[in-house]
Amino acid sequence: MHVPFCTDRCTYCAFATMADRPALHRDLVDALLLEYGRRPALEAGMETVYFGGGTPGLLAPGLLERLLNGLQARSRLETGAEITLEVNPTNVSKDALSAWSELGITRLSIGIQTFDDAVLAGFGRHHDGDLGRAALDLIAEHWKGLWSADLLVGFKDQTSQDLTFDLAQLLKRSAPHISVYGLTIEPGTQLHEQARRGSVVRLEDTYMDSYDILWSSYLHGFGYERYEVSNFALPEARSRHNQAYWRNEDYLGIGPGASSSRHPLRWSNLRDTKQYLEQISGNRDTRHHVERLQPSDRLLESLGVGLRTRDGVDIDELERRFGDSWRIALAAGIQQLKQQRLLEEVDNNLRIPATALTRADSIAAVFARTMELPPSQ
Amino acid sequence: MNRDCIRNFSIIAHIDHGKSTLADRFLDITRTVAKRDQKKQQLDDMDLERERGITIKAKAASMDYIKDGKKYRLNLIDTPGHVDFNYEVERALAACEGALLLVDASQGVEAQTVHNTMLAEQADLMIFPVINKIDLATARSDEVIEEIENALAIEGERSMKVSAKTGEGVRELLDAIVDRVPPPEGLQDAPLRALIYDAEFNDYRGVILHIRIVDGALTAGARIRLFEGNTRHEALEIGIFRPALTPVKSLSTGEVGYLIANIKTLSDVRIGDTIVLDKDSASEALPGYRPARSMVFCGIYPVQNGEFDNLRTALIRLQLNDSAFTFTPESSDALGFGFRCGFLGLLHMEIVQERLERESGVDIVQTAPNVTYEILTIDGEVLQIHSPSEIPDPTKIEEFREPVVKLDIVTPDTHVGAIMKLGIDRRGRFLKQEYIGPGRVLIGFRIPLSEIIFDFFDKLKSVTRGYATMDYELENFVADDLVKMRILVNGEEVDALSTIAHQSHCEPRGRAILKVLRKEIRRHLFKVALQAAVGGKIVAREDIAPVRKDVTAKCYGGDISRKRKLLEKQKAGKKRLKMVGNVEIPQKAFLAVLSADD
Ligand SMILES: Nc1nc2c(ncn2[C@@H]2O[C@H](COP(=O)(O)OP(=O)(O)O)[C@@H](O)[C@H]2O)c(=O)[nH]1
Ligand SMILES: C[S@@+](CC[C@H](N)C(=O)[O-])C[C@H]1O[C@@H](n2cnc3c(N)ncnc32)[C@H](O)[C@@H]1O
Ligand code: SF4
Repeated sequence: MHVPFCTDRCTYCAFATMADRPALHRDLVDALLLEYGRRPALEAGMETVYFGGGTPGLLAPGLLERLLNGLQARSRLETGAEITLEVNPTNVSKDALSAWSELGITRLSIGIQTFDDAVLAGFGRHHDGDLGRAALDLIAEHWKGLWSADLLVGFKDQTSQDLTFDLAQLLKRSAPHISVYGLTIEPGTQLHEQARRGSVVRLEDTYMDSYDILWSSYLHGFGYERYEVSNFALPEARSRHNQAYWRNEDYLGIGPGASSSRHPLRWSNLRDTKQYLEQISGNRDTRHHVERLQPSDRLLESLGVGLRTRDGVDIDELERRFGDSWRIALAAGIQQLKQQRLLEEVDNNLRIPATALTRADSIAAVFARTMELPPSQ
Repeated sequence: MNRDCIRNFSIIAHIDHGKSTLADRFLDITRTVAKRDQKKQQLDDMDLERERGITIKAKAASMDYIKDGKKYRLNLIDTPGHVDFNYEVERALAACEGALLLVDASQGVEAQTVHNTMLAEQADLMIFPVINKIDLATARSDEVIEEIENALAIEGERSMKVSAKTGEGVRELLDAIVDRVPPPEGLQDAPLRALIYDAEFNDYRGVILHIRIVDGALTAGARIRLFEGNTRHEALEIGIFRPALTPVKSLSTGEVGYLIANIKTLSDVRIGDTIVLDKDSASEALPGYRPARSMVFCGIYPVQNGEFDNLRTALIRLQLNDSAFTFTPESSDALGFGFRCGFLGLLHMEIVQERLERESGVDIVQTAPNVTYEILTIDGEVLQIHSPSEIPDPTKIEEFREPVVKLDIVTPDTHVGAIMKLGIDRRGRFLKQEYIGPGRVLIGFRIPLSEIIFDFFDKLKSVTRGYATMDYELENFVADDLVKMRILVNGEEVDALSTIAHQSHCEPRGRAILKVLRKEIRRHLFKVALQAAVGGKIVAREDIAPVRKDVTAKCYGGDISRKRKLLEKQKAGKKRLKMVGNVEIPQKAFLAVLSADD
């Protein structure tokens, strides 16, 4: 469920967001439920629900409740379903936490980015380090469910001390899950414009290489598992929702800019919230891009996202989706990569050894270049 | 036509000094072309020529001019403007009795002027200087006349001054041509001997020969023989250039015109050959004939292996139009199947390459050009080497020889130092330096052809801010410390990147090539070692560090399609990659090393 509102747009962010208009919250919630109503009902129950954005933490608990009820009116929530809410530090209060908890939210994902006041201000964030810490303190003290914090790394002039300081703040509060995202310069963002005009906005790659070793070994030392290149979890704290993406399973995305996968179809919605709302109220299609995936497309995707995870790609699942043909298609790549010790088959999974996980994209690219036969249906 | 009324002449000029404009004025004044039909610059009609401002193929125009109540036939024979076509220039000049030495009144004498004047002198032509563009405010006619005297040892006082643009002095010039250029000699009653001084290919008419009747006469319908080519034909059509093809019944001694004889391709004729009547078995050939000789070679490969046949078709088609261009199939481990192509010189190579891409639409990869080398083996055999792959084992080589040219550069004297340095860096031997006019110098070098075929002219232009001009002439083959330098990628030789270099230049050259490769080859998951080797010795080395880490970005549902598209791009990019072992070398890299700068 994509909630596109943010207090302000951060300079690096290219997600489908707009400046918050509380007057539109209700319309959006209704529109989301209308779109949901138009999609084919889910055959099985919902295993995970993710309120993402944007900043869904801006929605009043009443509207979140309306959303959750609307969802369950058409399909059942599995027992033990994971329900995640993405929030900004400014959304967090003791009351909000207890309201979310009562609604059945099981997991919070909070965008911290850094605790460095100057950097936060430069990014146009509406909180400083102290507010970030305060939000985390509240969560650590009052939140019974799981939670995760996002950190951004690799901004200009970041030192290794800065990085360990940021990490330490999270560790002190025993964050069950930490996402560490390397800053990327996305087209259409202010950051992109700054870079285009010649400003240095990112840390050089050579530093990033060594920082990666720093943060990963640091987190490893504290018991976190790097279960995906950018995601670290204490035992039992992995994000189930994200893992479904990485296994290239089906998912339904609702809201402006949201994408959905119902193999063999993949579609994504209009990104502009106003347009989206107009389409819904005019009873017209909100999808602006629909594609039909070939098995070879899906195989390539499964590798592209799956190899980024520690578990790798489940061979049984490959067999189920593609029959034997996947092995033929990938044979050359598998042979080459195994020889280079960049790929292994463990517990019936095709995976990248931990030491090479940060090179997953390049490794998947080897498959892209060596894949010969499109797997048959 | 009466011999005494014929004047055959050409115009020698540096690019842009106004040859085409002057020819237009001639055509105007003699009313050879009705005004309304007149395209600008009648004589330069190929696209490429227009773009590059050079005349690639000699053309001709026959004009009638009345002086003192008498009608004269003035035959203007256009000459190619570049040294690559030296032989063609010589043959065109051999068809003339006189030459106008056209010099821009503000630019003065340039290297090409010097060079072509020497050719005209060798051909024993009556040469007289014409100073053009006297209408320009910057004209410095008297100084330029002095330059002509100094640089060319030609008497300046009888120089004509004209403005091809305004027409000023052009009539007087035509009068002077009548007065000063001698009428053709030649034996009217002897058996036919005609010089083929040019040939062109026309889609509708086949090969059109440009000829000058030296002895005897040629009548339409005659049975003829090409002396060197030893092929027999019927003279289907003969005529003169107005400048459009205009048929006539016969051409007599001293006349210039064209011949169409059902010849299919240009490779069937050779400029300089003699046309005789088939029945005259005792005829002798005209002097000066030389078989074509390519001096610069390179490999040309299709980017897509499947395009080999299309490439071959395109090359055959090009050869129809250009007999000096040669090609033979070859194969390369790195590039697959392609052709080794031979050219008269570097400009010729560029022209062919451009035509190839423009006219055939086949994407091509070209390997580094090399000159023809000679190897004397220990068995006393002399091998012609057109490609580094033809070099025998070093132990079998007695002498490795390369072509050496005499290079003339004309420049403002402020740049002499820079030119000296450039010449010497390129293994040139300084020969002479002469003042040809106030502040203008002629510098001579003896220099290996291989050192100037590449980017020498660009370099020269850049160190002289565009002011210098150059020209060169092949002298002979000279033995030197030449070796084959191989390029290895993770230990495997990439044949298409091998070059021949002077021992002393291998290291910098090798380093320059590797540097370019390092930029062009993307990081792999393993280290890629690039090496330049001479024999067993590594002279340069560069490593491409492996990918250590990709960006660890967020990856959620909306990113999956995006990820796939990125991967698909890799898949598509693969077509433009050549694999050497596990290393992917982009086609682009093969081109990029051509401009590696050491
Ligand atoms: N002012 C002036 N310009 C001229 C004269 N003759 C030629 N040009 C110009 O010089 C340039 C080169 O002339 P062109 O005939 O193409 O030179 P080509 O390369 O020798 O054939 C053109 O821009 C002409 O218009 C002249 O007598 N006076
Ligand atoms: C869709 S945002 C939503 C989170 C929430 N609105 C917030 O900002 O706290 C999810 C995360 O993506 C990451 N992100 C967004 N743009 C990024 C970029 N250009 N480079 C790296 N990470 C980025 C940030 O860490 C952010 O917390
Ligand atoms: S980073 Fe979060 S708060 Fe900032 S614009 Fe993006 S979604 Fe909104």
